[in-house]
Order: sequence, then C-alpha cells, then structure tokens
Amino acid sequence: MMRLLSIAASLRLTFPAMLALVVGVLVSYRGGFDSHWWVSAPLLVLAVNLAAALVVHPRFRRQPGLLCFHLALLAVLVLGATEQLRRFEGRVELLVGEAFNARNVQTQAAGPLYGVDRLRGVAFRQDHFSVDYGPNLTRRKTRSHVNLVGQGDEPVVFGDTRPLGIAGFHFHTTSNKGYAALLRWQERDAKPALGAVHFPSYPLQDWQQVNRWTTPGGSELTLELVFPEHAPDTRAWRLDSRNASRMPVKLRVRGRGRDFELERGQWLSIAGGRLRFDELRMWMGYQISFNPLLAWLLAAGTVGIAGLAWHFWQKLWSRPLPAGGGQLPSKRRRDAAVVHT
Amino acid sequence: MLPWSTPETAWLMAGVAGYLASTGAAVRGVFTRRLDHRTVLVPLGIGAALLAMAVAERWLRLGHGPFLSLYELLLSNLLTLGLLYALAYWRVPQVRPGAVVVLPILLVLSVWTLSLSPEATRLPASYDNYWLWIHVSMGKIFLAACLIATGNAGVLLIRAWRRRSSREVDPESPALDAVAWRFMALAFVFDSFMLLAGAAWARDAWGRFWAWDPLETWALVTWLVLGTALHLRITWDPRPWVGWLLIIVVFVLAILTFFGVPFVSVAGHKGVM
Repeated sequence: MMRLLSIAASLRLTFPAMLALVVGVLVSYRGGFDSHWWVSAPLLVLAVNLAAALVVHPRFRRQPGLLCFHLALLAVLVLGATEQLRRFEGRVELLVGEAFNARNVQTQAAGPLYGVDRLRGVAFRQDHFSVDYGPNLTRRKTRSHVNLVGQGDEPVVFGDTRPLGIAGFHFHTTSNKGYAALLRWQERDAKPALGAVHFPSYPLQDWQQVNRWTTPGGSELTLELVFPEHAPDTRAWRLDSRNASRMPVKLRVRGRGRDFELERGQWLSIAGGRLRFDELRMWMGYQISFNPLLAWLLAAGTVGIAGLAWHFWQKLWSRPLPAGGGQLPSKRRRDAAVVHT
Repeated sequence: MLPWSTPETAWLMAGVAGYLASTGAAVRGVFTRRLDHRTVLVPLGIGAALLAMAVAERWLRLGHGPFLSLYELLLSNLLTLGLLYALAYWRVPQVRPGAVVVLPILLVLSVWTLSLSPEATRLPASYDNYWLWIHVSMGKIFLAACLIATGNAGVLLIRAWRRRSSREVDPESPALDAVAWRFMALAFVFDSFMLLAGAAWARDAWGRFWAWDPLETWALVTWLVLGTALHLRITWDPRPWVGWLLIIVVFVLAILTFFGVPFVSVAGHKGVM
C-alpha cells in the first residue's frame, strides 16, 4: 500500500501529468471540447499525485506556505469538479409586466447534479428598464427594474456588472432586448387568446424588425414593426421601455402574398379567425447562472496564492541574492564598469 | 499608419525616443565593454514618465483606461514594462546585464505601437468594475516579471553559446540564473492572481466565470507552462540552458496571449487585459 502511495506521490509524475494537461487543454480547444477526458484525465492524475504527495512527503508539511498552496490547489480541483456537476447556465426573455416563468428558460448548460426544479423558486415580475446610448449607438448604462414576488413586491434595480441575485441564481442584463407586439387572436365563438411576438434585438437590428408567426388557425404570417424613423445614431439618447406605449408604430402583416398594416387596436380577419394588434411593449434578455461553489472557489484560490506568495517570499525573496551582476557604479568605479555579454 | 493626429502622439514619440536612447546605451556598452548604468537607467525612466503622460492624456480624453484596442494595450504595456524594468534595473543589479535583451524587446513593441491606428475606443458599461482593475494590474506585473526573467535568460543563453567551445565558466551565471527564476516565481504568483481576478471579472461582465474562450484558454496554457517550468526546475534539475529556454517560451506564450490571441479570435473577450 505504502509502495503504491509512494509511486502515486512521485514528484517525477507531476511534470508529465502537467505536460499532459497542457496538451489536453490544447487538443480540447482545437477540437471544440467534444471530449472532456482530454482535460479531466490529467487533472485526475494530478489530483491523485498531489493528494498522495501531501501524505507521503514530509517536505510539504514542513513548509506551511507550500502546504497551503497545494491544499488550496487540491480544493480548487475538487470544488471545480463539483461545480461542473451542479452548475446551470441559461437565458430568458422577459416582457415588461410579465412574471418570470422557469418553463420559458432556454438551458445552455446544466450539470448532472443540478436540480431541475430549482428555478421554480425564483419569482419576480419585470417592470420597466432603460438603456443609455451615446453617439454611434454605443451602449452605456443599463437599469432594469423588477419586483420580487412574495416579498411585498419589493422593487429592485440592477444592470451591467450588478446582477439580480435570487434563490442562488444570478440574472445578468444583456445587450439583447427589443420590442414585442402583444397580439389577440380570436376564433369564431371561442375566448380570445393573448400572446406576444418578440422582435429582434433593438437598436442593433432596428433595420429588420421582422419575425414569423403561425396563427392557432394555421396561417403562416410574417410580422414587421414599422417605425417612422431609425434609432438616433449621432447623439446621446435613452431607450426607455415606458415609452413603447407612445411609439408611433404600425404592425405590417404579410401572408398569402398580401400586406396589411395595423395600428394599435385594429383587427384583421385571417383564415380561421381574427387578429388584433393590442399594444407595443419591450422585452429584456437575461443571462442566468447558478454557480453554488463559486465563492468557495474564489476563497480557495486566494488562500492558495497567498500561501504561494508567502512560500516564495520565505524561500527566495527574503534571502540575499547570490553575488555577481552589474552594480550601479560609484563615481570612482563608473569608468571601470564592465559589461559581460 | 503613424498616429500623428492624436493628442498623445507627441508624448508617445518622446517616450519611445527615451527607450531608444536607453537601448543605444546598453548596446554600446556591450561593444565597448564599458557602461555607466545611469546612461541606461535615466533615459529609460524619462521614457516611462513621458509614456505615462501619453497614457494620462488619452485616459482623460476618452474617459477610460487603455484596456481595449491593441494600440491601447501596447501603449499601456510599454509604460508598465518600461517602468517596472527601470525599477528592477535600479534596485536589483543582477538584472542589468539583461538590458541588451529587454530594451530591444521594448523597442520592437514601440515600433508595433507606432504602426497601429490610435482610434478612440469605448469601454462597455458591463466591463467597468473593480475586478477589471485588479485583473489588469496583476497581468501587467506578471508580464513585466516575465520580461525581466527573459532578459537574464537571453543573456545567459547568448553567453553559453559564445562559450560553448571553451571550458571557461561565467562567474555571473549563478546570480543571473537565480534572479531569473526569482522573477519567474513572482510571475507565477501574479499570473495566478490575474486568472483569479479575470474569472471574477468575467462573472460580472458576462455572467460566467470561465467559458474556454481563446484568450482564457491561452492564458491557462501560459499559466500551466509557467507552473510546469517551475516544477521542472525544482524536481528534475534540468541543464541550465533548458531552464533558460523554458523562461523564453513562457514569455513568448505570454506575449502571444496578451497581444495576439485577443485580436485574432472572434470571442467577446477582446483584449481587455
């Protein structure tokens, strides 16, 4: 057992394992990270090597800074692997006035140990938001207002580098936001159905505010928002979702080779029912992340680097340098100073 | 294109002239075998001060630090590399022989800077938090420590190559070698802090702390190669020239990561270092 442990703890194993990790990272990077084993396998070997070395080599225990660094490194490996198993990343678009619904979230990445019901604990309602723009459509400050449901509808303002933290999740505002047309669909003798069609990001794509929609009656329509003017690009301005209701806009509906333009409140008869353009609102796109161990990872990393700095200070920097090298010459020696190269 | 039209140009040109004078003094010292180190240090310090004026002028004009374009990255690194090397040159005599390697590198970076368009940039609101400052500062100290170590490693390699046929031992070699590895150790500490602060910053800027984008991947590769080089030095005790070559490899990787990868990739993580 001890012999096996000694082999696993060999410092001579560390170098090839580290090289393998470098190669693994490069191979995975070139191959688009199709297989995680290129990185995971060398990391596993390094973790075993390090854990065994901490047990076998008394040198680690005699040097607290080095011990601290390597323990922290091991902690980072374990925490990082656990984090991968439990993490979640996703995105969602929320209409102003709409309550967050976990079913609308588009999952980008989820670890196998991530609890799928966890997002159901998130409850808030999107209120208005604003984005400041400078000349040339340069995006500046974003402020999103939401009301936390179940906490007295407490209003919260966040944006840019300050995410909304709720139930362990972080909601980051993104550059992705735009207009949505609220539509009412009514079939003969049926209750009207309400829905929203989101248009592409605004003002980034203000020249193509087009989307497709199939009515419950089966008609395929192309919808386009027609604004009287483009977003200003020569001066500073503010995109404010509260102004959407006052925007002079028409909804162009294209289907079966015919075009119609609807103003707010107007109806259009289409095969199978009637369509009404109720109102114009805005939607905000959020990036959602769940990283339960991130604070611990940051703490372990900081402690490890501090330990390493302490170790290097004790072993290297606090000790006198070997003699030799160029001395700044005194007046007397200046003319005689020699450079060896 | 030469940036004649920007207000910081005069300061930049004057700063580069300072570096040129410093390089001239170091190179002349090699050929004449006599050198007053002040003829290297003083123009280097003045050059760094003039570049600080160029950075300050641009910073005040644009309202944000020089973090974004390749021109801004090179300009700010010319300042910090020159300044930190001048400090090391002044306080650590054992780095002075490396000046004939370090200063020409700074000159190459200077010429590169002058060849780039200095057009105005804009710092996105989502990038602007205190982790960015920590990340950038750590990165600059890391690169400067690598540069100083590379200076010594380069000189040691040149000397070893020139003495390859004789059995003569360079008396300065152990001191220069030890100092080079001390700076590599320093570089490892600051590189680690840079990665950590970068992850914390990316979390706030993009909502994720690590995404294997090209810059993150190459920064990790640089850190791993630097860690491997230090481990190799401690556990395998390779021939000195192997270690010196490794120091240079780490520096080349760092330069590619800082000034190459962000500007050839299409990821959102552009050059903010």
